[in-house]
Amino acid sequence: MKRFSQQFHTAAKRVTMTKAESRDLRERLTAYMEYHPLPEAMRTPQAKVATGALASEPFWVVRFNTMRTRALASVATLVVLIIVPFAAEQTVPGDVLYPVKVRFNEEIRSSLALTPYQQVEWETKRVERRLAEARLLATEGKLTEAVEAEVAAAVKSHTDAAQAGLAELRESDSEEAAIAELTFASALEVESEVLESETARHEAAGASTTATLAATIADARAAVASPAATEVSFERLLAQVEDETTHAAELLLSLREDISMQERADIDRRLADIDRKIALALESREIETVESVEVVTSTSTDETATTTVETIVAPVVDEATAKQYLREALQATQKLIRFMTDIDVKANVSVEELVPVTPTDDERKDTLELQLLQIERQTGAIASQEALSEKTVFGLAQVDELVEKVERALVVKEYATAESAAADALALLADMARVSAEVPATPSESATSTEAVVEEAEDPESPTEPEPPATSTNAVAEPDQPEEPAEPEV
Amino acid sequence: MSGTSKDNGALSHEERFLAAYDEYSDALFRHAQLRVSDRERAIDIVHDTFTKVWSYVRAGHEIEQFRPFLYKVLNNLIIDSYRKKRESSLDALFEKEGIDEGTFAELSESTVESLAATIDGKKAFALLEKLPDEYREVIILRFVDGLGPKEIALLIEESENTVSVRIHRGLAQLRKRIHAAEAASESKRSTKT
Repeated sequence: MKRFSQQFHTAAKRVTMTKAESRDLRERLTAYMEYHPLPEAMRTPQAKVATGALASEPFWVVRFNTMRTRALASVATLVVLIIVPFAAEQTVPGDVLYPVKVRFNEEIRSSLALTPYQQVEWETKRVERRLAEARLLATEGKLTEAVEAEVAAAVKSHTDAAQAGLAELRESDSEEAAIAELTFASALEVESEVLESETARHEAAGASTTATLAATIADARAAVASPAATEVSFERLLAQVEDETTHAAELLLSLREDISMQERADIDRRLADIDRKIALALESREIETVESVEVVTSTSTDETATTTVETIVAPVVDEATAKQYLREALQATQKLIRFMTDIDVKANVSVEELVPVTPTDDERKDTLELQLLQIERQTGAIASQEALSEKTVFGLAQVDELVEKVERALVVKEYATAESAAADALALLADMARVSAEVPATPSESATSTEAVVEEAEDPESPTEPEPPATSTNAVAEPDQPEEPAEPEV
Repeated sequence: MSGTSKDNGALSHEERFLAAYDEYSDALFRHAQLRVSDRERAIDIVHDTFTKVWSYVRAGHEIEQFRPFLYKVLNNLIIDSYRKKRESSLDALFEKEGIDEGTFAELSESTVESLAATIDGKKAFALLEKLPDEYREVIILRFVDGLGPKEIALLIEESENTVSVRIHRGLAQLRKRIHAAEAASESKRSTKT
């Protein structure tokens, strides 16, 4: 019997699974167990350990990673890279996250500004941001001197960086540099306007002022004022102006619903002014080109042809003036855009302060006529006084002269001349009125400010002048003449 | 092989279950392989056996001893697979009818042993496949898996008597077949020469 069962058994022993089959089967089984785990109630702490130990390695690692580590890591990344910088954007100096804003957000943004032009743009933007923060602190009354000094230093470093960018740009592309400089200058102008009104308001309220900042901006403006802008070509400038005005028009369109009728009208008016300036610039340039053509023809033809050319040349404005118009238009547009986009600026400064209205010819005529009426009334008032001193009489004569000049200028549409003459007359009258009010008996003891004007009136040249028909050159030159010999009499 | 199921009660369910696997999977496979004569199917049956037992554990049942339980499940699965294969074989029907409670001679363990002693184990093993499953089952359980008649009786849900008779008859058949095979080869040789 032993023999049989032994033989039988050893024969049977040869029937086994191969190692591979055995391993496969075991893996199938553990996988099955993992997908069909024990219910929660049956799991002991030991059981959990056991699950870890029995589970095949890849399962174990993957499950742990996805569930815990990865979730934690992604949440941490989210917080560090998105939420913190986002929160930091709203901070002001003194806040915990403020350094994140300045040293992380803005530095990253800086590194994205690749060209010097973008760099200048961004540094300008940073100046604006610093000042906005300072204003915010000031309105909350938290702007201490230390903080202000800090902000001023930051502004200084940003403007310096912008200047450096400009210098770099000037070497590679002078036209671009000129445009960038214009933009920078108008941004600074806006800022200083805002700061001025701010300072005035705070001084009135006795609160902390932003005077230091204003000084810093003034320094920066002085540095920019160095004229390098002439290098830009007319076409380039025109393109930039077109670009900016389109932007401004779009902005206005999008804001239409949100601003008051008054504001909309104001902005419309400024845009119209800018358009007129552009038209003026284009016009003067066109005439110039015509002139150059005619000059060529005139060389071959007779004397009469040349004279006709000269009459055309007379009203011509040269290219530099055309560019000046464009430059003004550009800066006005940029300021307007800033006004429309920046709530802070809008709250602090009126449009008029930022971009004064450029009156049209008709408007100028109207105001001049009004001024003439005013002058007439005032002269009448002074003349009706009983005792007229010698000086007053002389002054009145001078005023008459000026009025005459204004009227003449109006006829030939020399508004600039007319305006300056009218202003002189008004000033003169105001001084006379004051003299007669303060010291009616002793007019010779008048205040120094009066003297200057009266002296001007005593100028021997202008009253006796025979007044030839006002040519353009004469009319322009005249208002300056009275001031030149202002010294002699005391 | 890590101890029996009794002394690792402190272990978790998973640990106990896998210990049982390590201990019995080979024997179960051998059993299945000898019964179904198909390697792939034998492995599948072993796999199914363990997954079924695991489901049983998950359902909250406590298993005191894994070995009989595993054999029980395995046996059922093997029978299931037979049913699928041949719903009712003539052989099985015939054997079922022909089974009786057995004679006294057949019931004695010693006669089984004395019978076994007359058989060449190797040859018997080779001829195992030829036996009807009824006999094959008990012979494998008895001589391959080394279970006692009592355990086998529990497992296949027959009386101990029946088990002993079957073993005896199975062995007798095996011997008959061995002799028949020997005779056949003898006659072959004689006809050749």
